[in-house]
Amino acid sequence: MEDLEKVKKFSQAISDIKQEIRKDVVGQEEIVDSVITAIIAGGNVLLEGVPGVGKTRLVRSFSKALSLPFSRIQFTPDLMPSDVTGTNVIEKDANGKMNTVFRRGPIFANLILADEINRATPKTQSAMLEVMQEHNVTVGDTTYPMSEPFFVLATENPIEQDGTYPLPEAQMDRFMFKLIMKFPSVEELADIVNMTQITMAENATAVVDGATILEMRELSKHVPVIEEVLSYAMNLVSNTHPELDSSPEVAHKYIRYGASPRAAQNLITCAKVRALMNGNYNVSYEDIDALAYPVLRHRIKINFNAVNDHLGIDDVIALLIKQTKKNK
Amino acid sequence: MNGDFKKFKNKIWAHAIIESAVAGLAAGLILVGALLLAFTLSGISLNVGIYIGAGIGAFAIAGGVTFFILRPTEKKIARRVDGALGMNEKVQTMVAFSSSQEPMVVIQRSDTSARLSAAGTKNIKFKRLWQCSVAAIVAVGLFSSAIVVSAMDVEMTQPMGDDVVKSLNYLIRYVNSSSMADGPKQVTLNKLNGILGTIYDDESQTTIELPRREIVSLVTRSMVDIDAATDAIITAEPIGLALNSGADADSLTELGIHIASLTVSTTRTSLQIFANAYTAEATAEMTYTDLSLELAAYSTQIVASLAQSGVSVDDRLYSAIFNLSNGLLSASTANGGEGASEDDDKAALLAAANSAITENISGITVQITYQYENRDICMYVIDALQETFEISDDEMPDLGEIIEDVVPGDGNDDNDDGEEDPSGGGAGRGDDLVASDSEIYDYRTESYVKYGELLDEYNSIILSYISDGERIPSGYIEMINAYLDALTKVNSDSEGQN
Repeated sequence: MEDLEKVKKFSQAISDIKQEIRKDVVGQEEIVDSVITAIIAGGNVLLEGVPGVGKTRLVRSFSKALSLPFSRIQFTPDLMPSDVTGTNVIEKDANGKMNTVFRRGPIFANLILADEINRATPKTQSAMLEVMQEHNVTVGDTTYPMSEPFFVLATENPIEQDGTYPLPEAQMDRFMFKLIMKFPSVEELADIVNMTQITMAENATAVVDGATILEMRELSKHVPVIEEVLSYAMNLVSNTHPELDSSPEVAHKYIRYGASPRAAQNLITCAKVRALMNGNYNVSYEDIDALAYPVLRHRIKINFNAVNDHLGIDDVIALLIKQTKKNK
Repeated sequence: MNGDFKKFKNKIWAHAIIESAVAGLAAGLILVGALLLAFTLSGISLNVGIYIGAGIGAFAIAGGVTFFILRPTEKKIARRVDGALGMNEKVQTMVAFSSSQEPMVVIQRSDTSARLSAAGTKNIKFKRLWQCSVAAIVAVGLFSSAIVVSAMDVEMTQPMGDDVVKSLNYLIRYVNSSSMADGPKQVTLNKLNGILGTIYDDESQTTIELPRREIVSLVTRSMVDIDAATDAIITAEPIGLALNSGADADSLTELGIHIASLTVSTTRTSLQIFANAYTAEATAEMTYTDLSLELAAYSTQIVASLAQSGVSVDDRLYSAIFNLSNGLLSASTANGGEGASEDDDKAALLAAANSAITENISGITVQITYQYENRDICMYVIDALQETFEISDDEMPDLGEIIEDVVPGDGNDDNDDGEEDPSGGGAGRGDDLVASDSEIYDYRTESYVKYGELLDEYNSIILSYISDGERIPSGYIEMINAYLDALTKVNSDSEGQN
């Protein structure tokens, strides 16, 4: 009974969060759902979108709805790692004694917006990514843990590539999802304009807190997955590797290299969350198929054949899903 | 087991059983139909029980194998229910974790059960409906076609083997070398060569394919023709020639048999015997009355035999008998019935009669019926061809049913004009026609009766022949008249004497 209450609470929380986000973000339902999924699952999101589509507003709204501290880091080429993590500074105390004090950087928040992460140098990127992976910062010989839940939403500007440092594949793999924020439709644009004419401030209010998110995270871990669905997910990830003989022709023809085992982990973890978000108590093939795109699109590299055949990464993922289903 | 899930399970099991039964039935019908079609076209007839057994066997095997393949496990049932109801693996999860008591699993199970209960089993349709339908249609179609073909009794052609040709050639040689008369022999050979020509192409040296039914018909027709052609061959041959050729009693007509019986290792008729026996010397002591009675006795026999057999005999014979009879009577009358006149007169009369008889005896023909092995030949051919073409006895009609035995000398035999001979019976059955001076043999009662008892009847019968002048030679008519007169006189004398 207690667990049933938790499940009901979970559903209610999701519903409330979406409702609050909708107050500040027009459209982009898929992005909102995916971000919620990633936050609950304990992952980070790489968001690709042109400027002005509402990436910052999105994260701000989430921080309000989730009652979590928010921090925005604008990455520039001259940004240093210490600018992100923080640094030790020497301060004179009241007694005039010189002490070393750690000044926390902007990374010390629950929700982080890492804007244009590809503009930072690899050194700064790695510092950021370390925090994303470890959920702590080490300065000198002291480790400072992040407050849970810790969520980073990094953005990439797909337009201005000059002078940028594209994230290496190994670093890309640390992001649970890669989401593509599309330009709003005309109707949505009208709604945005109408909404922001009055005020630019976010209207979302707190509906859940960090502890609730952690509870939801814990609950989602117990969602059952049958062997067939698990096997399907594993096959899907495995089929992205062209070097394997068991891979379908799609992989051999269009993929340069495939996804890591972390993709399989993320797939199942997120599928459980998604199932609960949709009012289901088990993971289905549909969950796997829906999450395959955000989980795999930044982990697979397509080759020139795909480009030549005018196939994008999502097209290749669709073919992989089709082939894996056929061999199911 | 979850109660709601059990309902679905029961329904899917029922579907599997029905689909297996349909598969079994289709397999049974297809097998029976194929067998029926194949054997019917091959001309082979099988017991109905074999078809039934094969059908039941196919049903059992196909149905059993199908059910074994299709048998629904809980996993399969769960998958099918999820698919039918769009449950997104809920039922499969419920079944997979049926024994788990994890809180989330329990919630999932409860939720799934509620959804199953709300959905009901009505959405579970036959999974292989179109496959079952196609199988059933094909099976019924093939079975029906086989039944129709069987009813039509279509026959495939059957190739003739070399053995067939060899058998026929052997038969032809056999018939050719037999003692059959030329006429019947040629008929038989023509028929056998006809059969050979139908099945064997001499030019290409190859046999021709024919349906078995046509073979049976060909053989039967040929055998009927052979039997009919040889069975009733009746030739009219001069009796002397027939007797000289050593024809046995079985092959001679009854007249011939009678005449032969009257002849003692000679070729002469009883008249000639009479003529030879009653020479001047022999009759010297005989009165004319005695002579006339003797002649009457002989002539009665001959006349009766001739009348019965309907043999066409030269009028001169009748004239000779008549003349002789008249001469004897005249001589007897002239001499008051006593003794003979001048020896020269009697000798002259006898000589004249003898000459006429001698001259005509060679003209008397006798009917000889040839029965040379014709039926045996027919049966031999039938047996050989039956064995070669594997034709069963049931397929071969009984020749006896087709051809009526024509037994010459039957009581209902037709005469030359095709009318029934009312006098019945044939002469010359080996018995004497005249047992004594006053008795004569009656064929109807097969006994000897006195002249007086038959006279009126015999008179009316003879007169009825006499009235038809086309059938009876004129000399014969006159002779009969004189004969009857003489019988009347003899009979009166007998009564007077009594």
